[in-house]
Amino acid sequence: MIKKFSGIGGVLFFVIAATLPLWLMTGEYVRGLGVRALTVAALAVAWNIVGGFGGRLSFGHAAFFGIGAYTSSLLLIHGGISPWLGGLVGMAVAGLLALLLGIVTVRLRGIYFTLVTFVFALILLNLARYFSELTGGDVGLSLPLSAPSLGMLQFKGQLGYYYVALGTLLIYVAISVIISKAPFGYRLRALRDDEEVAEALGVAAKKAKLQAFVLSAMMVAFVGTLLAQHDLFVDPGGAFGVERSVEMALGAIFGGIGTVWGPVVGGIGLVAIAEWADNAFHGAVAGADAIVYALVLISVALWLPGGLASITQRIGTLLKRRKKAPIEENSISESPKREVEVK
Amino acid sequence: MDIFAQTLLTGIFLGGVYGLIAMGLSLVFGVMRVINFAHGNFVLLGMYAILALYTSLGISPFWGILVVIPIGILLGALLQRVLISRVIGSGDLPQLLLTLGLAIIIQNLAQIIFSPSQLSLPGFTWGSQLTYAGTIVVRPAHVAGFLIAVVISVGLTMLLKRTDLGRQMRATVDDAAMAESSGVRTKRIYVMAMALGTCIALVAGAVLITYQPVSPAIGNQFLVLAFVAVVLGGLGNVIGAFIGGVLAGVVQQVTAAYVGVDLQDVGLFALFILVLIFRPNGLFGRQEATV
Repeated sequence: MIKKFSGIGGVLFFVIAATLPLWLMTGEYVRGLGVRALTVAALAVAWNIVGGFGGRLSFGHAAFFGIGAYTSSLLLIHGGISPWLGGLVGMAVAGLLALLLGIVTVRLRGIYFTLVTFVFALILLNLARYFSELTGGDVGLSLPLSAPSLGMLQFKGQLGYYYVALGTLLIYVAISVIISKAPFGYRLRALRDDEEVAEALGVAAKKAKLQAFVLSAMMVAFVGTLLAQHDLFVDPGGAFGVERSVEMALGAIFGGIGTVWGPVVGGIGLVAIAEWADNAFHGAVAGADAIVYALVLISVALWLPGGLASITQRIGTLLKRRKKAPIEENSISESPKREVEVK
Repeated sequence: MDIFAQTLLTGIFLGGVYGLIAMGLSLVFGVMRVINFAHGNFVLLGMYAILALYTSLGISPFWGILVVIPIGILLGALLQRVLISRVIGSGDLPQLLLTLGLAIIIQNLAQIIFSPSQLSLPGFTWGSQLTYAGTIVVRPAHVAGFLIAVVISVGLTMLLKRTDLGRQMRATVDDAAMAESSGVRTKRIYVMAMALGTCIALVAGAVLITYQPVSPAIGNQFLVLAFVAVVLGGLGNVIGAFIGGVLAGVVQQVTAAYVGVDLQDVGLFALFILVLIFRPNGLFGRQEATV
């Protein structure tokens, strides 16, 4: 059921998303919201490679986001270098950093990995605040305006950003689809489900974990560049803050961790909920929207730990149950049995 | 040398309270395997509770602790019964989401009720007074906070080591299934651990407000400090967590004095990552951090 959706529905999703600004999202505000939704979805897809397929919950991916945002911004401010090139440099730096962090954390189990990544992003946040001459400190840095062009990744309205974000998401989903079907994806999921068994079957655990972490970090870094260009502004809190790390993890979790389309749906859904809560409650009491957001988190934790994707799966198992006896209940993604068989 | 002694002493005094926070976190993790991301904001609750008692009823912070203790126990037990019990054993993910959600709710409620700005106890000068002991400067509030922290941690240690309840708790830490089959009512132990852990966090907050202003965003700082202390001591090792907290306080103060005040947390975090790399089970830890 989900597989069929991935094929036809996936193409449909991108076609609709590409035409949306033409008929539904005609206002600048809504288009800006679209940019936000698409970028959060892209971040969630990137996070999902480590957190979902790999099952290692990183709560510090803001580190790589911030590196991407700051690298391209600083190169643009001080050298006038195109953000595309700056973004590539940012990806390289983030990849290198992820490699180093990955090497030292590769042996750490679940929650310990989460704690180290969480603290790692906080270190960068503190350093960014400390070196305020470089990073603008809490005031932040404004990026210089140039003539709007694709080459300088600056556009007059929201539409240009919308399509760049959509293109980025398309590439990321493609990467995610390829990984989910490639041996690399099976290795990652095998490691997630049972590291010892996977290693015994010949999976190079360390290599696979590092590859996933570095790839994910580089993808997140580019979105950092993109958002910095979109906002024409970057500051330590927005770049390296805890909220940033949580947002991308939540997008993936809310939609369905470890699935291809879950993070896309979850990322967009999360932005929609936040926007709705902001409109509905912000006028009443400042901060009430954040509480609604938190209530969504708690509800997902209690009733929908598999995310939105598990709803379709639950319906699927209900339908199957009528025909045959139920198979397994608790798995988040596709059948783990087959994954472990792969060498 | 005086500067060093001064730094060391301040670090130990502050570290005692960090240790207290960390013990609560460690107790909850040890017994239930749940990392409570809301723990730092429980400290925040304690700070605001004392602030409210002091400003509205004029109750002194140290008497206020007596009010805060039952609040903490009730709150912890309630949260455990209603929410946390439903995510035990269901993996890291729902637990992270649930406790993170709680943390956000507490922080924003505090912001709604008390405004986002920094507040301290108005007219409570005792916290900022300096007393000279030879060449070393001591703040009475620091000392009082440290003493309270020591008393509570000794009490908790005695409870864990000497009483039946403590033995049952330690058995649950070691192996919950085994404890359950030997007649320990683990669900009850969970409630008590959460009640105790929450209560300790609130008391730590009550101590902190006597010498440190409060604002809704600082809960995360305490959370991270507690993480550091807990990892230093070894996750699930309650007494180790207290020592870890004292160490964290010292490292923080030494970094502040010799590297830069703005970098005090970076020194702490660097220590945290170094410990996890070289001694992943903590300095006095149990064997479980690595695969």
